[in-house]
Amino acid sequence: MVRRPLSQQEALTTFLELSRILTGVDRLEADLGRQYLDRLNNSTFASSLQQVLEHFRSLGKRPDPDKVKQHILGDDALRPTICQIILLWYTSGMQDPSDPAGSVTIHYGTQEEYFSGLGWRLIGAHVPGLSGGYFGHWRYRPDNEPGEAGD
Amino acid sequence: MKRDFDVIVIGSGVAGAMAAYRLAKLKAHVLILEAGNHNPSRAEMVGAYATAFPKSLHTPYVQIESDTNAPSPDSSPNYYDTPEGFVKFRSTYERRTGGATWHWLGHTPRMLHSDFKMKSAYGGGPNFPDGFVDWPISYDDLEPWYCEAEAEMGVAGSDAEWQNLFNSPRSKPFPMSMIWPSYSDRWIAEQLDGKEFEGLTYRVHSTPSARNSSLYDNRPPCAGNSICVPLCPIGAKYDGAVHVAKAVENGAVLWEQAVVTRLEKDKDASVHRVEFVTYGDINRKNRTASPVTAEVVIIAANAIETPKLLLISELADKSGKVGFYLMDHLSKSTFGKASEPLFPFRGPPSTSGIESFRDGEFRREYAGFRLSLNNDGWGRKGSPYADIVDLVTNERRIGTDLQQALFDRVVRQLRLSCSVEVAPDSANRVELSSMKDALGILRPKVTFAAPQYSLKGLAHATSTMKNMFEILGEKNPDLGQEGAFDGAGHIMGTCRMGDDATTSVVDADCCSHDHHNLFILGSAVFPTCGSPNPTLTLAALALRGADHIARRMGLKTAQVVQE
Repeated sequence: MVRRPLSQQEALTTFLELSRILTGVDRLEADLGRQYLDRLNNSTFASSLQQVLEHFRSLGKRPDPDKVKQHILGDDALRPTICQIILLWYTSGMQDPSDPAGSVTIHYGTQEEYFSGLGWRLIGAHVPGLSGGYFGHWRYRPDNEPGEAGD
Repeated sequence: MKRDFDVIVIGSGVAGAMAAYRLAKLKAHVLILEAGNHNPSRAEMVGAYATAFPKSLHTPYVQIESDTNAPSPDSSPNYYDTPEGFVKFRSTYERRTGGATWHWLGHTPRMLHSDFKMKSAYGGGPNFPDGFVDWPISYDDLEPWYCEAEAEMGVAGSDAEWQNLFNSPRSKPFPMSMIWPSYSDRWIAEQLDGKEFEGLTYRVHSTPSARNSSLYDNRPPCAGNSICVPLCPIGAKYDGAVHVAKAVENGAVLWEQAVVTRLEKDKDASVHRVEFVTYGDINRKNRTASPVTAEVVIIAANAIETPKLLLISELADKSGKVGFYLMDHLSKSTFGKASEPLFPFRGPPSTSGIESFRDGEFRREYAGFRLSLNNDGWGRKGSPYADIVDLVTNERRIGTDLQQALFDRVVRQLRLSCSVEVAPDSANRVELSSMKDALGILRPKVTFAAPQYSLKGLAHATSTMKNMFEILGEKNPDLGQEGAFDGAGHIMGTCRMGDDATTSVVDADCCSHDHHNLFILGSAVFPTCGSPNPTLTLAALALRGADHIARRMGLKTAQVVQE
């Protein structure tokens, strides 16, 4: 049976649902999700992403994270795309799969995406360039230690 | 003869900007010639930083027109001509209104009493480099000007920690209380303070910094945005553009995109005439065509561009020493993990250091050094990106499991670094290359190799950091390759100061021995460099030099020093 391609809205909904499981963050901004989805679809990850999303839908509604680990992260062909989705949400950076071994090029998107990186808060820090803090906050243990970003 | 200006200042970095401001304030008619310009704006630069890879020193400052026509080692990686058999000189700079302080860290420790008299304090032994000399001025001579420079820049520091460090007293308190040490600094101090290594005692000090700890000079307090290098997003960190603006407010004239090509001397050896070329779209209103003349000419271009211009102009070189004794600090980063969480990637990149190894009898044999405690984790090794990739790809973690693993990976990361004194060596020098830049100006040829005296200091600094890591709970730190070092961005020497006109380029007032109205301001005049970051010292020298110029011009000056 040939599956019909996902509509844009279905793709976004699926992407956000998958992203919640991958990042461990429940409240993700849909606008950012749309931007990251566009970037992935315009990259060398595009075809792999479609497979990831279809595979994810095949696991049923709200699948257990262990199922995602086993069936998608466990697939050597799909793992780089999973890693890339997490990198986008955590740092807004995209790696270039064509980089030679040992060399890493990171492509950033918009300023908004960079300053929305979730990974920094997960380590009790802030996006470099935007602390949002008061003078001297670095003297103390972080307020967000080790909380969940966005939750 | 009527000149176009009283004073022409070439270069608008800290030294040039402060001198221009002080002289303009005293009603001198001052022209500042700047090869670069003030674009992009700070807001645009923050945006450029956010979206750029790699996030290098030059990332925010990319500006095609000035990068092409006034190239620098930041904008043009091959700008330095490097002789065969040498490694490229690693320290760089911007050519931009306000100069390279745009991307400095902001640290402002003073030089020590002994740093000004290395030869008489420690000389005579077989392993003591013969390039070391005593400065023609002492710490005491410069001390009031250190206070002036701290007030001008807005320096935050701890009076208790820095009073009389190595017999180097302070006559005035810091303008602001210290930048608060990080959580990491405080934990490290608890572990290290009072312990000894190689006969010296660890003592963690907060580092004086030209970053605001409170509202100062209409600039906000530091918010700990963590990217002092390459750019303070909010202007809490001082940069030379602050004094460019003040100079202009006081009547100085600023011509940007004006690249000086040559200075001409008169028959009496005085230097009044400055030739320059312009590029790009500039407002020519009220501009004089090249050349332009003044009673006094100040070159404040930096320790590479200043000797380059002097050599092109065949000036100030009766001693044959222009370009000689190029110095930097040898910098090395080491990496390990502490036994407790330190919570890096917060606050200024560094807020404390260890001064204990800057001075002592050991300097007869090897170089002194400063040690910095840093708040940027293993960012220089790709963290946290590399950690995320590894945890997902190799450990197959996602979700909250990934979050916890990432937290555990990063929060104990620590970078320690050193800054080692470089002994003056006549073999380290700036010459003219045969290659030209886009405007047809000869580029600098830069020769630099670390002296053995300094490499021995680097080895001691490295073993000290290893010992520190052991105390902090890391038994196997990444110490890098033995003998490897990086540049510190502290470009010094090349127009050394001295009393003897046959062995130095300028006198104690930064005036050329050969030309009574030509002054050189900036770290180019340092005869030796100690181990502290040089900007405060060069600022103090610039203010002192400007005061001398003002007196010579008959301007009414404030009484900073009793004559």
